[in-house]
Amino acid sequence: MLEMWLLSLAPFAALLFLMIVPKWSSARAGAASWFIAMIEAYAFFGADVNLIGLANCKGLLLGIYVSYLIWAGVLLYNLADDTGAIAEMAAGFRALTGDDLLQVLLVGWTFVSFLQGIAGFGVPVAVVGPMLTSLGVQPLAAASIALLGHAWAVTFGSMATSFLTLVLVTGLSAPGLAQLSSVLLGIACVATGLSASYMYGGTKAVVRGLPVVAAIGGAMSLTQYLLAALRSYVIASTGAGLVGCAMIGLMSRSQRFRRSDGPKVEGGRFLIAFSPYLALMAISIAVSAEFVSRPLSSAISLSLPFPETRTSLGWVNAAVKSYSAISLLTHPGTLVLEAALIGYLVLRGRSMTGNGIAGRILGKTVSQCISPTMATLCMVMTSLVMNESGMTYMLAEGAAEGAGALYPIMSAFIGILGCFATGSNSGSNTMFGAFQRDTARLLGVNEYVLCASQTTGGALGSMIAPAKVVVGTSVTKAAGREGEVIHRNVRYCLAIGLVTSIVAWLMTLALR
Amino acid sequence: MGKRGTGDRRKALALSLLLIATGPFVIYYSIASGSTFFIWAGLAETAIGMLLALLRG
Repeated sequence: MLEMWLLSLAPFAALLFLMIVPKWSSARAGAASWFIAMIEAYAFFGADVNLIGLANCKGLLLGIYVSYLIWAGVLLYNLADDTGAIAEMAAGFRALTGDDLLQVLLVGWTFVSFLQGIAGFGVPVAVVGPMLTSLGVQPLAAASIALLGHAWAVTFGSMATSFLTLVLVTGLSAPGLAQLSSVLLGIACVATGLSASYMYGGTKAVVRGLPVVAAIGGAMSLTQYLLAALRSYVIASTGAGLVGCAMIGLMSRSQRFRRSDGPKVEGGRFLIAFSPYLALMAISIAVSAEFVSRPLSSAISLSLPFPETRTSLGWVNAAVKSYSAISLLTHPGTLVLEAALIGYLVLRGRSMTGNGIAGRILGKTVSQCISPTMATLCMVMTSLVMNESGMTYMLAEGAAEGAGALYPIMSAFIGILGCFATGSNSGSNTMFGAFQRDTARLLGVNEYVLCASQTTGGALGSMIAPAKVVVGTSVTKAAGREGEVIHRNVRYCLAIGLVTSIVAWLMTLALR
Repeated sequence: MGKRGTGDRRKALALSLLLIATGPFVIYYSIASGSTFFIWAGLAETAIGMLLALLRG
């Protein structure tokens, strides 16, 4: 039994080791762990060639679902960046208030969360890092704050990629999982706001910022919860970040925070720059309505049926009529592309697009997306080979036996570990989503709570994931100092993870 | 890494992506049509894609 458990652990262990010690890219380490999983599935877990082949095909379908979002999200960001819309928005924020802490919270906590909602994949850190340094924050602190501030918004960010991946991998009902996840992420939201204040100005800044963080953090958490409860997962983080930005905007008008000198914000230009994201919000809200989504979802749907497969050790994968269906008209990636098109037309109408911009944006998007797509496919296919050959279940069984009733307290740390290894909340959820579900079932605790804790940990892990830290340091003139940033952020990550884990444990006691 | 090295790496990754994205479909349709040879061919194609990612990723 112990030998089989260690064998099940080997692909994960290899992935972690290769990414942390020799610092391989996630695509390279993912490919290595894929080979280990394939060999073990065939040689030790009794998987035949049909099972392995179909597991890879399921992994590919899941990877395509996630990658479509990645490509559309990066395309939208490139459009906003190339047309100067992002710079226009940043200038507007800088001119808004004269209070330095409020500026840092606006850019490094609420705006970065909004960006995470619409773009993700490291983009928010890349955009906000330089903006924080332009506000006078030291490079290392700027990288750390950008990483820390966006973490709570990751699960429902990037068009809810991480959340939808978790739903697909675990097969749990999305509404229930969304509500529990948003409660834990809400706690993380307030905690990251306080941590960003502390990182900027120590205890004095925490005391000064406490009322602001409590009010804005509460409002952002509530907004995320309500949007999740309304099944508007795709805009839950975006909406929350937007509410945070709007609240700081309102506060900046008060006597205490008002700027009496400096550049003024031109509302019209700001709204034009914002138009792609406003379009995205409008489309997402429209599609979330049942009477719109139902006919659109069934109009064009791409999926494949899969037969039952079983290993010689008795592990059975049930037949599936439609695996990882991609409804082309309602897929989040399509909504983003539609918003990009509307935004392009609006910005072109205002002469904000130069000649050949479409070709340039497409070229940049292709170049930026190949590597993350490779990493996604490698890790998702590894995860599916492990799931379908019974390895993930074996890991869950061993962990449950070892930790017993205290396992729920560990659940968020497994999410953090997964994100640290794979560089993304989606990668963590793909790797450990089914593991958490199976462990919950074995322990007889609520599986929704443990999966919510998993994705919360996965989101928090974003602040220390090497792949994201590199983005932060490279845009804030702190390149080569990734270890210092990880060292700075790890204590906040573990402390917030502990708080959410304890809450998750209490939830498992209350929700039997 | 120079410009040429970066370009070569990108080409290798693109080829790797192509192999990984098509190999499993070859396997799927081979299983559906009962052709054992093409199941192995699809697996080999996927494995070559992964090998490229491992060596150049």
